[in-house]
Amino acid sequence: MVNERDWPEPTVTTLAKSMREVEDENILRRLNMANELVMIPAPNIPENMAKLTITYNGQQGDLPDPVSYDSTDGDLKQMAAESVRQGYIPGLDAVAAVDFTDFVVDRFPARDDVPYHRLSLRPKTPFGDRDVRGGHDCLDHQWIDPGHCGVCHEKE
Amino acid sequence: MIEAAMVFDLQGYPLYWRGPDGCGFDTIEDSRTLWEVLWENRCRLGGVAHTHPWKGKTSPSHTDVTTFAAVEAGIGRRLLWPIVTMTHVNYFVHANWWSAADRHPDSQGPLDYRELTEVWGWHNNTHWLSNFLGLRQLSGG
Repeated sequence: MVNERDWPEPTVTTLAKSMREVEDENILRRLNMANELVMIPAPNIPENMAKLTITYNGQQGDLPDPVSYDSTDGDLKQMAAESVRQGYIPGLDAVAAVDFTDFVVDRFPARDDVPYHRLSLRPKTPFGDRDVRGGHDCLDHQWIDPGHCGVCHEKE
Repeated sequence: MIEAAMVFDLQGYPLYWRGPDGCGFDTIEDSRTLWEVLWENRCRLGGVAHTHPWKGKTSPSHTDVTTFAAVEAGIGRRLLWPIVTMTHVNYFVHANWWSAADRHPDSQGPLDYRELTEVWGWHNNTHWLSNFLGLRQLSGG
């Protein structure tokens, strides 16, 4: 246990340094459209929480409240769907039949220039025929069953 | 043989090529980079062509149609989804492609993608057809 008497007396230098650090944690430096460096306040997001950005219907917006960074993809999709249905997300129109089944969550941990966790819900983008071909190649026909072509019966 | 993809604009000019990722996959894995290309170009995006590297006609897999539907939901409009084999090109669109308001009477839901029986305009132009050579080469053909 740390004894309070063991703490160093704050000096002007350390006090100024700690104030600067506090300022750095709450200020983001960004370029505006005129390429001027501007300082904007960072969102007030606790350490284990994250900002959730949702892309849907050609629009993008952030959930107003931070969410737990450790939430499962399923929980995040459910939260996002409910929020979009209710029209709770600035920048996104309310959509009653919203469906995030085939969306994925990207997770970005905090870093020096963005001092809070970020989550992004976006559409998935894989293309694949492994469910048709069984993951193997037959140049003349599609693989019907894994291991051999269902047309020419060429084996793997 | 591996799959490859090409993002194209509303006139059929390539915006982005995606070949093998070097990770040993023969299919196109989920990629934030690909999604960012689609999102950044959403105003002029025409669709995404990808290969099924064999000969003959083809149809989209379940992975394909669920990706088609998810990307269209994200972008907010319908796109064109050509699938290129070593010998054929088949064009797929959602049954409600023409307009959301003019719903196809037989539409079977969000994964109801159908082949276009005829193509028109720039789809027969040399610049568009030459894209298929590039895709087939990327696929190892």
